[in-house]
Amino acid sequence: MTDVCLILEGTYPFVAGGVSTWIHQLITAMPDIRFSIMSVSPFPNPYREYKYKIPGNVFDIQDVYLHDAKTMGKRSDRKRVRRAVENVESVLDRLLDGQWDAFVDALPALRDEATRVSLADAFESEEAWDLLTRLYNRHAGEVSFLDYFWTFRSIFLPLANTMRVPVPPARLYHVVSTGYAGLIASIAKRTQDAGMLLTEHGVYTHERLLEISQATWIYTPQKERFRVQQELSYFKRVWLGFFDMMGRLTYDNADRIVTLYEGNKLKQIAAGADPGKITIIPNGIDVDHYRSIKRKPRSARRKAVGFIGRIVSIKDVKTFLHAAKIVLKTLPETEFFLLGPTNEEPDYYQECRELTRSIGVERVCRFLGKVDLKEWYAKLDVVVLTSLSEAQPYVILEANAVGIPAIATDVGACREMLEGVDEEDRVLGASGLLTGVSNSADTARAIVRVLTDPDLWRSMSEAGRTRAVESYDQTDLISKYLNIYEQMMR
Amino acid sequence: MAGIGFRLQKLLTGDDFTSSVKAFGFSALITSGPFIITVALVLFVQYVSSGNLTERGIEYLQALITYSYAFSLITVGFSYLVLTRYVADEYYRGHVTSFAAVFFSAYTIALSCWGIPVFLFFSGLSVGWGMKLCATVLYMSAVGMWLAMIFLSAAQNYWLVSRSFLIGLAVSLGASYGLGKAHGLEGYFAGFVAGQVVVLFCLVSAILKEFGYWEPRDHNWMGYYRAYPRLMGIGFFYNLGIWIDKILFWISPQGEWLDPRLRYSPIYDTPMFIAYLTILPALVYFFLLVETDFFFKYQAYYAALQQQEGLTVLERRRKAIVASLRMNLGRVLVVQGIVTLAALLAAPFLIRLAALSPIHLSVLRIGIYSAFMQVGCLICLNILLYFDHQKEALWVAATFCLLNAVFTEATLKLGLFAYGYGFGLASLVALVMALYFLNTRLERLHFWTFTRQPFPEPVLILDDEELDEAGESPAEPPVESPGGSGEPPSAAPSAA
Repeated sequence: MTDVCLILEGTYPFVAGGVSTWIHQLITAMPDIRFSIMSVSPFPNPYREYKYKIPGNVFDIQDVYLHDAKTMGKRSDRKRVRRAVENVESVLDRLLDGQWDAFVDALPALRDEATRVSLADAFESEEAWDLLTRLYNRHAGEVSFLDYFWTFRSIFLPLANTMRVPVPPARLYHVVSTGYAGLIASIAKRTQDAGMLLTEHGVYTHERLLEISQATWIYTPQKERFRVQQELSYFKRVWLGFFDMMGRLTYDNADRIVTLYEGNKLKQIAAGADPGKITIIPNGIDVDHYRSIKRKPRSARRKAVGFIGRIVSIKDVKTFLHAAKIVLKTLPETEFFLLGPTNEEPDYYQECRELTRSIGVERVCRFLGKVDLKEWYAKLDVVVLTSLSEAQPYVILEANAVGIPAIATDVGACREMLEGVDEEDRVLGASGLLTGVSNSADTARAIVRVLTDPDLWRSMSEAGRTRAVESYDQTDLISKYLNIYEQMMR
Repeated sequence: MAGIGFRLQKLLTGDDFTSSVKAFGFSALITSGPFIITVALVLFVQYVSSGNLTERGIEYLQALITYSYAFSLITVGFSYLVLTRYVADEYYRGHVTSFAAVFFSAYTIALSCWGIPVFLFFSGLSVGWGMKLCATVLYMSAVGMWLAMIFLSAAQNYWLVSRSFLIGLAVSLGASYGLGKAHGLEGYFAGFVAGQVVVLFCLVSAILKEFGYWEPRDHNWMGYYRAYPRLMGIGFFYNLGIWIDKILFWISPQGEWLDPRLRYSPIYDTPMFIAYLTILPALVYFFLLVETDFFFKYQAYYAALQQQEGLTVLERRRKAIVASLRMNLGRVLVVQGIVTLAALLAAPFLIRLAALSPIHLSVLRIGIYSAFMQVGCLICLNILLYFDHQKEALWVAATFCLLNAVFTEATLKLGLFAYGYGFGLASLVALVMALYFLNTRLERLHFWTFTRQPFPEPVLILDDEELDEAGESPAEPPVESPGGSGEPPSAAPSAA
């Protein structure tokens, strides 16, 4: 029995990334809490390796393989299979009517040793096949049966694998996404009678929506490809419905939901979460580290504007370059530094380089690639973000903590990071300016305003440094989690 | 073999009489298969040599040929379907340059496993070393022939196959007649064997001509033993099954010693061989009409599936397959019924033609009935294999083999009036079983087609480092369904 069982899908400890890093920080910062981990991944991978050094307070790491069909198990007797199929069919019919709790009612029969069926029963029995064709006739109309079949398999194999998973006992189940992990957490909550906490950094249901609507691997009939599509193809709707269902199920079962910022909260509510359960805990940074950086401006006259991030299209670098061109009309001695890896979208990077030449800013806009940011935070006068989409960008936090005002598009959590989350926070004043998306004139205006008004600059710098300490200190935020853990552990 | 029927339909579309006759001849050649060739050769030798040899000599000659061929069929049975499947798969993949190497590999392996036991068996004969060696050589060339035919049928090169057999036949005829006059029995046998060796050489050179000879050996086909162990069983049991009743008759008190190593059953062998030849019309008719018509329906089903049609269309295509099979099996039943009836009526005449005694008449009649059942069983077994129901085909073949042994043993106890019923009854039970499987499997064709699809294997990505930032996707995207990727999984079993 551990204190907290973390249920993770496609992240820690085998995949490096933002969420994984956050989880690692969380575990490391709570040496007194005993953790176990359920790690959900698609297939067993003999070549995988730990991307983090597993802290000593992690007692157990259990794997769940979604698409593993290696061990199909034995066929059960027909009566048992028939009963299981009846059970599943009634649940599916209720689910398709929008009754999310139907799933929970089905759980005991699907997990009980005495009644549950094997993968072989689910995918090789005639009873299951008849169920499949009944559902096809009832719900699918005349869509491609081949794709229907494979959609069925791709949906039900991971489901069957998650349904059968043994859940380690714990005092609290903390799941870091909805989806399959959310499903396991829901099962854990229902079977272990423990609390369930959900943290979502990105909103899983929303991300699947974007991903599936653009997916090319989901079959869309040829004739539909030629006209402007008003609605998604049958199979895309099935996939979306499936992820939407898993999302709702997780939101229903979670006792508390944590997300990073207001915008995500709204997406979660749209995806079916109860607003009353949602708390916002943003990502934090090591504030002391950034506050200790001593600013050494290059010169009072030649101001330095920084763009910090990967040179990729979602960051809309071109708007930044156009803005630079406009800024140079008023402040001809300004310099622009683009700091971040250029190799992720080489074509886009090339286009950006050509743009600097064609609008004549190549002398003052410098692409420096991946650099030591600590050194650069000391030199920059303002940091600009022109992203089309963001969650809760660290750049703003870091720049603000150093004392550099930030100019950012009004996406994701940028507004609350620059202007404050609530009344108490807003009193501190703004630590930067917000601009419209793909609006280079707006961005340029903001840059000029910050660079030409020393009083504004100073107040923003001050507000940023204070806000970073008050709202985004990693240590405080982790202790908020510790609080939640302590309240919820049974 | 699926491709062969398709080619035949093309031959028939030019509807002038000659091409149609050609198609008949060819299709008989492919499908009548090794067993009919054996039976025909044995009867042929008997007919040709009847004026020049003593009765004892003819029987001895027949027995030697029968033994050699029986050994070759049973021992090749292990590899026959496995190799056919491999060759068909490779042919459709376009990998034909290795065929000569595969042939030599299969041939070498078959001979190194069975050559010595067979030689040891023949070396116990009471005749001279010349005959012993000839018998072994006959066995060796028969094994080579069956194997070589697999490759040439895959390439649909029936002309080369028939030409090889025609040349060999002519050589056999000429050499055995010429040598037989000078050296008696030994000369006859040596001449006959020489002809069969010529057949083998013709077939091998046809393989070399057709596919070239690029590498010495290719043992990759042996992986198919692991992949399709059931095909090994089907081939073995079926070939053992069609010989087991003869073997039991040989070793029973009904059998007679020709030699310390050779037994034969004068009451049983020749009538049964003659009876077996009556199935030829049904087989030809089946492979010509049924298979070609049916094959289009069969293809249409899998085409609909791959063209991502709905269940209604698939169901329609399934019904078309069933209707086609019903109609064509009915036709075969009628045609073979007429042939069988005619053969029964002509039985006394056949007895006289083959210079048999009237005592053989009842065995011949029962043999004709039995052959009727046998052809049905063979056809259904083939259809089961088209739909890749190997497990069911194995059951049918194994049941046939076992029951043939049990029933034949029982008829031996019952006496003369029952001789031949064992083979017939075993064939009947196997036929009913095969029909049952066929019926239930086709009833649920969609189920069997789809459910047997394997789940996709993981594609291992060594570097799965994700560059996701805080707040971006924590999840793996759902695994790509092979059905939706524009390249639908091959749901059509490429039938052996």
